[in-house]
Amino acid sequence: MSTTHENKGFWHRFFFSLDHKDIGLQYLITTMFIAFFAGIFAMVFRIHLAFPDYHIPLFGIIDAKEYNILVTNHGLIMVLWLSMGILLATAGNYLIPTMLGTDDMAFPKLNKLSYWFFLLSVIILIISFFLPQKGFGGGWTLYPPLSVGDFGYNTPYKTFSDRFFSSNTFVLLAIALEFVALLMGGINFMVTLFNKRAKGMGLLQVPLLVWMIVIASILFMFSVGPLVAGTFMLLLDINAGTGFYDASRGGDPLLWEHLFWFFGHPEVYVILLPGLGILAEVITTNARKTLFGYKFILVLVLIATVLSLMVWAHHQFVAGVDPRAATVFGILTIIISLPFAGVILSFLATLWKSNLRLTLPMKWAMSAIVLFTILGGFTGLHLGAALFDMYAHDTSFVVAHFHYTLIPVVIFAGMAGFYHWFNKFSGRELNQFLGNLHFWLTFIFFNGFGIPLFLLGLAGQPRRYAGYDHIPYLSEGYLPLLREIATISAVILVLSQFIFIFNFIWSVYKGKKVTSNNPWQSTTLEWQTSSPPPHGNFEVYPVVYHGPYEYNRPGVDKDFLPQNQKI
Amino acid sequence: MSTHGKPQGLEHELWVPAEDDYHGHPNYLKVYIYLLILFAITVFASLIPNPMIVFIVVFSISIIKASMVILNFMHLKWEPNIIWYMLLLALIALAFLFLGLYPDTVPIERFFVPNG
Amino acid sequence: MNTTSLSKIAWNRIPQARFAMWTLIAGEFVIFGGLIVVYLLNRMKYPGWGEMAMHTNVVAGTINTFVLLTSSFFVVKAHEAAVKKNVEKVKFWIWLTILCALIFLGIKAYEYTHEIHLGFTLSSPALLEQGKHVETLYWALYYTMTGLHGLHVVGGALALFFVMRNVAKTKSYFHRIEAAGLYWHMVDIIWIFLFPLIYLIH
Repeated sequence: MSTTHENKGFWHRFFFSLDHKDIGLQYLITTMFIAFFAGIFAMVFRIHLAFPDYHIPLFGIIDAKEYNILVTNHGLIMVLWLSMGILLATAGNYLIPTMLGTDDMAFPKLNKLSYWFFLLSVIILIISFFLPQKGFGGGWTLYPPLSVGDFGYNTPYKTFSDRFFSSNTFVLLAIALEFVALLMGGINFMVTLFNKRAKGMGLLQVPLLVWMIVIASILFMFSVGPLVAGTFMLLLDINAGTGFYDASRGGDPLLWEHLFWFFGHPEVYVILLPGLGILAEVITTNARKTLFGYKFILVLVLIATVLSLMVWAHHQFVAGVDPRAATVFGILTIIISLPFAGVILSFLATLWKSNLRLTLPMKWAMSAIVLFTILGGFTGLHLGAALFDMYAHDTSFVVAHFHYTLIPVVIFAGMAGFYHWFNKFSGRELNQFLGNLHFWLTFIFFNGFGIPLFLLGLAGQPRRYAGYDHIPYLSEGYLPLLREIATISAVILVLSQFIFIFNFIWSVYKGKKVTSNNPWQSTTLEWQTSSPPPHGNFEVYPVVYHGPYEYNRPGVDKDFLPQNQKI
Repeated sequence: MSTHGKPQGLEHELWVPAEDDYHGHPNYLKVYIYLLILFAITVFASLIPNPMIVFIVVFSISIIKASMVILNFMHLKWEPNIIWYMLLLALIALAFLFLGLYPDTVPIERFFVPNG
Repeated sequence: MNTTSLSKIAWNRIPQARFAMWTLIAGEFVIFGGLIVVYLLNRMKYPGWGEMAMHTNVVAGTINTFVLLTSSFFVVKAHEAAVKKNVEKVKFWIWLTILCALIFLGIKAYEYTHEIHLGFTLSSPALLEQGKHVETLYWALYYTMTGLHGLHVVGGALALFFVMRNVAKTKSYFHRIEAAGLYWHMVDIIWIFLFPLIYLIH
């Protein structure tokens, strides 16, 4: 492994660097690039919903087919590429070896290979927009028979080549490749946690973020299997004329729903756990207090992981599943809220009587907890009750619910992490004014988008409709106004992220250089080395003497005790 | 990981000669012969006229054969607990998949016969 | 230079390559397990499937099972030889294993040819015309499961080949024989389940 990458030029480093930090940043840039498109798609279709006659720049007036394609790809990209790309791939790759006090991952070459698969999956997804169908439009959940046939397209399938070179096939191939990338990454993360810790760091002295990412990777590995099989079967249905999901051949479209959601539900916990990990790191640093209940949180998370494999059919209450099964799934769904409530309560206990520093990362972290728990979590309990779900299913209520669980975890907690670790990976500081502007705009306009959507859902507005003008009860009263408020908020929300992108790029080149390795005065190991860390991460590898969150420990004059410092 | 050597300072990482496999060895030939015997029983059992009994017998023997391969040939008997937990998690996931899918597949008439 | 290959031990005394391989194996079990669950459920539901199962070639399946079981034995003997650092024996046992893989694939190819000739394909248009819609699903699942398994046989054989070549050239990296062998055993275990489900139960 060469140690002199720095002098070999950008492209050499891009292709050949095995350093986990480079790979982490590659994931970050690739993910942000594809998420940019998903954000634009969201703006476009929201404008169409509230202002159907408005000519959107670059898109014109979109029709129903284009609407479906925009909505589908927004969902696919955000759930499958953005969330896991930022929270698992970027955070895991950059932070796991540095927090563990070691030089790199257990399998650096496998790490590089996993990035290539990820990049390839993004490229294939982008190609799907240029195929005759112009993008897959069957919903991010890919339900057959819509995803199998050529319904709704002006491009009927006549030959094998029509079927193979279709957006349907390419989207599925992109997803399969991305799963392979994440499986490889997951194995790497897990083995690194067990094998490559600093001297003196037992498993219970590992920062919570590392545990969360590893548990999330294990959950991913065990839930994705049936979906891989199911995706293979869907590809065969599209390309080889099999009838796995075709009721007239003894197949069952409901089978896909089960296989998809068997993965789909654990997937949201795969996204949630690293988010919680980032919150733990940011909260302990900014509250100057030890994490309450480290072991307690680990046990709760492990219980929730096993439970998460048993709740998936709450996405299918109205699909005609056996009501007795629906009862079981509903009860388990309500129960699974308990471990996560325990984790949030531990975070609150950490904040109780703490020396709070309301820095920018802390603002993001606090809002993440509040929005996720109150508006996301509680509405999840509502939807977990099968009776309520019968009314609310496929309405904007569900859309609001999952945006209130996903955005606080991916964007708010992700931003908390970004603002927290930016100075570590770049050696410079982000502009505080732009950061605050970004935060407040995001917070205000995210709620401006989400709360109207709850109300619209309760009023009965269905989701995945390309317009509501033709439905009288949705076009009268204050409902169109709510739609407009949601749309304008969504547009400003997406545009505010450009402030962040500008801040990011500007600060990387022209930001104020940090004066200290550890400006937040944090205890974990990544802060005990230079910013950015050198190749190999540490000049002298640290030896660990105690847990990762020793703040305000009696007998120590500073209010924090780095993990590698003896008392 | 191979012979390029550890960076200085990481001596605490336990690198050992990999040819030593750190587990015990059963008598492979004995295990193989048991497997063949079970295999022969499976094939003859399939001739029993009652399909339910065939299914139970044959499936149980498959589980036994798979266990013998995984415990002996794959040396699971000597592997640390973490491996057992991972495999257990995989089994639990599959069990729930089966239980969750069963009510929606087996008792239900879902297919339609197309017209004509 | 005869460098001894080193491998890392975790807190729980398992070398790194094996740990990673077990994780991969557990993941693969869930993938194939998913397919097997789908097969089992449909089998329980449709009696017409039992009829279709009678068209599979039990003799070929039996020979293949014997071949794979024996190959498992061969690959574990290769592991024994690797522990003793005996390069010649390692090569001998691995070549035998690869031979078994080729025999398996050959018999499978023969089976597929025969079945396709009878009109049983992924989409089985002949059966559709007869109005046997449900039975076409049996064959679709049959080709999917055995095809995916066959791909894993190819992959496992290739892995064993390259690892063996590497060991022969460098006279080290013996631990990789066991890792590749683990993958091969997984392929065998999957077939242990596939064989009775597809061939024996009527």
